Amino acid sequence: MSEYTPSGLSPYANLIARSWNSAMPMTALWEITYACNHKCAFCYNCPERGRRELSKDQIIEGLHKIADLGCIFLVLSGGEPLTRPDFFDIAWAGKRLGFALRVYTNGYLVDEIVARKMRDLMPFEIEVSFHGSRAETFDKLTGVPGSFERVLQGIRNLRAQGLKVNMKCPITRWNQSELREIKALAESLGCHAEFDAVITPRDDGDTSPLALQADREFLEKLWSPEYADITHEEVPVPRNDTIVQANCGTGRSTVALDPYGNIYPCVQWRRSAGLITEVQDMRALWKESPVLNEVRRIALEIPKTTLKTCESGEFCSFCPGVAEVQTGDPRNIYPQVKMTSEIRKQKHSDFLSIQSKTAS
Amino acid sequence: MTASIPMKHPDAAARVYDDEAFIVLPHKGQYKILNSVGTRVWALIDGSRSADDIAHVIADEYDTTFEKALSDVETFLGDLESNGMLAGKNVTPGENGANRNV
Repeated sequence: MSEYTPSGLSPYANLIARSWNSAMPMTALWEITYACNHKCAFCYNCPERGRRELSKDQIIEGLHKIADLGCIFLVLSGGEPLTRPDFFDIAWAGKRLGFALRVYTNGYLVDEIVARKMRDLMPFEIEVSFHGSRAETFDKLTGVPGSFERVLQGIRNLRAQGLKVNMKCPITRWNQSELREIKALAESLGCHAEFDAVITPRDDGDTSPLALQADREFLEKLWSPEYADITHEEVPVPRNDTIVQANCGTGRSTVALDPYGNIYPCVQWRRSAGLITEVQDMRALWKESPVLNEVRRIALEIPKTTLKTCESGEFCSFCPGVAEVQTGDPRNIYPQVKMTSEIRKQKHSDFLSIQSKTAS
Repeated sequence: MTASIPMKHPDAAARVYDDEAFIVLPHKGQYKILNSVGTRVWALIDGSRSADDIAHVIADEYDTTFEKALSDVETFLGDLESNGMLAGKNVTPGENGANRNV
């Protein structure tokens, strides 16, 4: 009987692997609006002009269907979710349905009142997009003068309520020289900083955001031991496709929805499996949707096909959603993943070579 | 412990995957995973059953004596409490219905 004490908890990694392998979704990410008070140059959202977003009641009805699917995490994202005046009604409905909430916000609207409401809501995590250590850089990336100071104050307001805040920084060529300062700023606020070098095309295939991705010279430094404090890895490690067979969790670990109610296999791969307003049985759709089954099949094939034929495939963080929007085929290697995997493979080889010389 | 009624923490969110409860504790910034027996006990914590009541069910279902089951259930509830998974005396249960399907 003592086996059921918390000291005998099953490993989290094992659960995640099972979620991927058996298409047992744990997270629902819902972009509840495309409205946003920032104009980030690299944003991937593509609102459809004139199309009406779902009402609060439609979203809450949809949350009931998603709850039936068995997800525990509900990510409320956007756009900027806090631009919806009914944000807290939606979030509380999610909480009452038993979801653990994650809120992805730009922090711009978080004054003391919103921070207090957020404290009452008690999300598991709040992620605030953060773009630079200096106002000049930050405001240039958001396209909104004064956004740096206002977002910083928003983070301070959340922290004053004792809330956990992750500052999430997409690395661009405009802020690539400020990563350590951003990290130091986050730490001074009692926050964790996360960095992501992946910039994606817009969801309509427009590749203009890619012009902002960090340059090759910087990425070569980023994946060297010099930046281990930022990347949390001394050396790039190859993929391990033995525990989890699929390329990624698309159509498996996560379900994503847009403000119109389209149901997607993930936030990046925008093949709609249906509309949440029209679905009666979410479990049946998850199991039987031809779109979702096709996506899962392709994701299973990729490690055995696309990544095998790519010279640096074992170092690819390959996204079939990006591949499809950018090349028309979810199996095609696209330029930015080719470049990053080549760099990561080279850095791995450099490391092994140094190790070998040191040993001899 | 046997005289009190254990209640889940109102901020705890839980879901069962393959007989294991995955429990998210936003107020602690932590996850916990329980094995199948722990998951059964978690399911029995409904704000009306005492540790005695839970131990009776466990003894029936897991082929052990009531005394042994009670001892283990009390230890387990103590662990849950120290891990912030149970409501304190001043917390109102059922505020958020965070007990879906568990």
